[in-house]
Amino acid sequence: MQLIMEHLSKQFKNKIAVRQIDAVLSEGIYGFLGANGAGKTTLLQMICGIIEPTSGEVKVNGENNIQMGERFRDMLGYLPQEFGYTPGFTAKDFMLYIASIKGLEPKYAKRKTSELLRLVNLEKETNSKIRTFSGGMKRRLGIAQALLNDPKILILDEPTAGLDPKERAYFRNIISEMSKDKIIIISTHIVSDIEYISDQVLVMKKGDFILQGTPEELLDKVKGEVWSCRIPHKKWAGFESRYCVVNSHVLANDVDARIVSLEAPIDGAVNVEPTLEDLYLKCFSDEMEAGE
Amino acid sequence: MFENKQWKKIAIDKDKIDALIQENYMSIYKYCFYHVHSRDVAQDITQDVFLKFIKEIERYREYGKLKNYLYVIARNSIRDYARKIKEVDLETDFETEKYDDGGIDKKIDQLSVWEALNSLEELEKEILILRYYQDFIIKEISEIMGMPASTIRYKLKNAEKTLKSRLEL
Amino acid sequence: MINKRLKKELNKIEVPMYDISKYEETIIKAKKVKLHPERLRMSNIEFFYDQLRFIKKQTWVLKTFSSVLILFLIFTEQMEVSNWIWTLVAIAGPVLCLINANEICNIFQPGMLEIQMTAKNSFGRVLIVRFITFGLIDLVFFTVMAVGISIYKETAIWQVILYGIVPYVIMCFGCMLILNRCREQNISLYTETWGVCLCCVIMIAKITDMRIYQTAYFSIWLCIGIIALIGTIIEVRKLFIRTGGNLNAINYGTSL
Repeated sequence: MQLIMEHLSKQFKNKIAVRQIDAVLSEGIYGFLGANGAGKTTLLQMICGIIEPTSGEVKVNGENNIQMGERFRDMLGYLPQEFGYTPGFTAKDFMLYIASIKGLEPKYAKRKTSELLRLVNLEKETNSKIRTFSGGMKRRLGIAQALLNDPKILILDEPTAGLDPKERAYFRNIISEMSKDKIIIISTHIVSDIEYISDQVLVMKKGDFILQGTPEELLDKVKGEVWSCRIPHKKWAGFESRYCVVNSHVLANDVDARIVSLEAPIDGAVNVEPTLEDLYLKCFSDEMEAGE
Repeated sequence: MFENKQWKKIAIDKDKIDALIQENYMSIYKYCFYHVHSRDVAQDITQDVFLKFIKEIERYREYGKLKNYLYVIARNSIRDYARKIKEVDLETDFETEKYDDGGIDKKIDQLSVWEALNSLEELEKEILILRYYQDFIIKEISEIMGMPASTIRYKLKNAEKTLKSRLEL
Repeated sequence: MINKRLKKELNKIEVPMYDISKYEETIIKAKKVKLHPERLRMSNIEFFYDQLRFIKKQTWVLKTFSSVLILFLIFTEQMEVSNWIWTLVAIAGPVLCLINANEICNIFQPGMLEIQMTAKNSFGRVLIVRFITFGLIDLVFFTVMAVGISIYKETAIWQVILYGIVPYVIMCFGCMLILNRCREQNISLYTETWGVCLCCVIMIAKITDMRIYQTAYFSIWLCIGIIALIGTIIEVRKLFIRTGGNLNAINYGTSL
């Protein structure tokens, strides 16, 4: 199965949200990394067929997604950034309603609903009203509904917003287990969510993919550029403004810092293994040319 | 619409499979037998038909009634089988089958009916079997074979004529 | 027709009984076939009926109650110029339409709309189920009311139709305008406000004794009705296009 984005772009009245994006995706997990406002949601909505592109198209196995209509939507599972529900619905009502519009047989829908609510740990809340749910619970419910029709293409927009670390780890496990025969796209600005489970990471900035590759390939780009060092207090202010600081910890006399820089920022700085977060901060703090 | 609903549940509720096979095994088996003349082959093809039907249950809606779809599959299975073997030797078939213990006359009678049946052109034979042995009405036959009712009627008449003359009726 | 002689002749062929063990083997193997219940999908008709069970019970109750109440009030009134019959006829439309609108607002929640737009059964279909169901029920109500009043109160039936349907269509028009432009969670608040305003206008006309139900004003009623109808059709069409997946309005609030 191939999902192809061909010269995809979207322009609103006076703002270009997505610029000429080209990408070919097949089975596996794809992490779309980017700041808020980078155009991720617009891109995802174009892939889903909710929005028509200004130019270019999205194709699945050669067919345009909007023209495929029902057939395309039948393979799709989508979790929007903002989660909404009919007032007064319980978790079960909601799941059964979504199952109905996805065309699932009612008897099967009941079975699948219990199965999925169990999967996302909402079994006890099956008959509770959604308005009593916390943000994390709502997100989990959202993930559950996206899985109802066993989608071949799963698109999750900020799925882990509001989830605590345990829930996030749980989410990562669920997703990795089902990636073999699906195209899963996870859009997020939380690097750790996709760092370990993504087969490919695509970094989006101002509507374009500036980086694309496996996590290892991407990390290669910052190899040797991440430093751990100690900077005396009085020099710290200067450093902060000049360098890309990933992390800092203020101690008695110095500041313990993790910095991304082409050269050692200070004598005694030591190279450390880069992580995706380092890369992310580098991308978004200086101008980086579009690479592979 | 409601029959549709009932049989789709086979996929969800396996007990319906018993009922499905119970109701239709005999007629599908007979249908196969009229084509292949051999009990063992007919049994094998019948089994294939049911297994295939269940695997592809979602597709049956295109063919109207459930039963029609079963026969569409049966027809295709027979055709696949026919492609594999070239000619059926009627005489040897009868001798090797031990089920028949009627007299010689009965055997000869049957043989002549078989021969008359096999003398028909393939489509005419098919239509005749569906009409005279399986008791389908013209409309149903037209749905199963994907041919207009007028063609069905025409070919059926030809088949009847041929048979009547061969069997001296 | 089947030739009986031919059939008799053909039935000379004896079909040997099948082996029971083969029959049982078929059943066993059939049950082992790996099925894919997740691939089954409802037909359009099944979808229609299935959707009905998601319409809140309280909507059905309200509709029944309002319809019966209005009919009751109308038929227990004396037919005079200064009474409430025409006002009741005129109010019926907005009230019933409001109940419909509130039910429909339930599925317009931001965040849920997007999910519905990516489901196999398009959002348009979901709306159509509700439009058709409510439309038919309201049609029955108006027919009963129109026929009843024209027979028992001896008035021209088209008068009842005009005074009943025009406010209904005006209400629909307003609701459609709201649905197309509002992107908030409490969208039903707006439709309720609109409904209440419309009802107030009708009540005020009665209280201040404005004789809007006179023969002379028929053409005005008709014109307003036609304008509202055209407006409604345009807005409904806009709504279907918008939720058909070709519009960007959801996130950025700008339209093509």
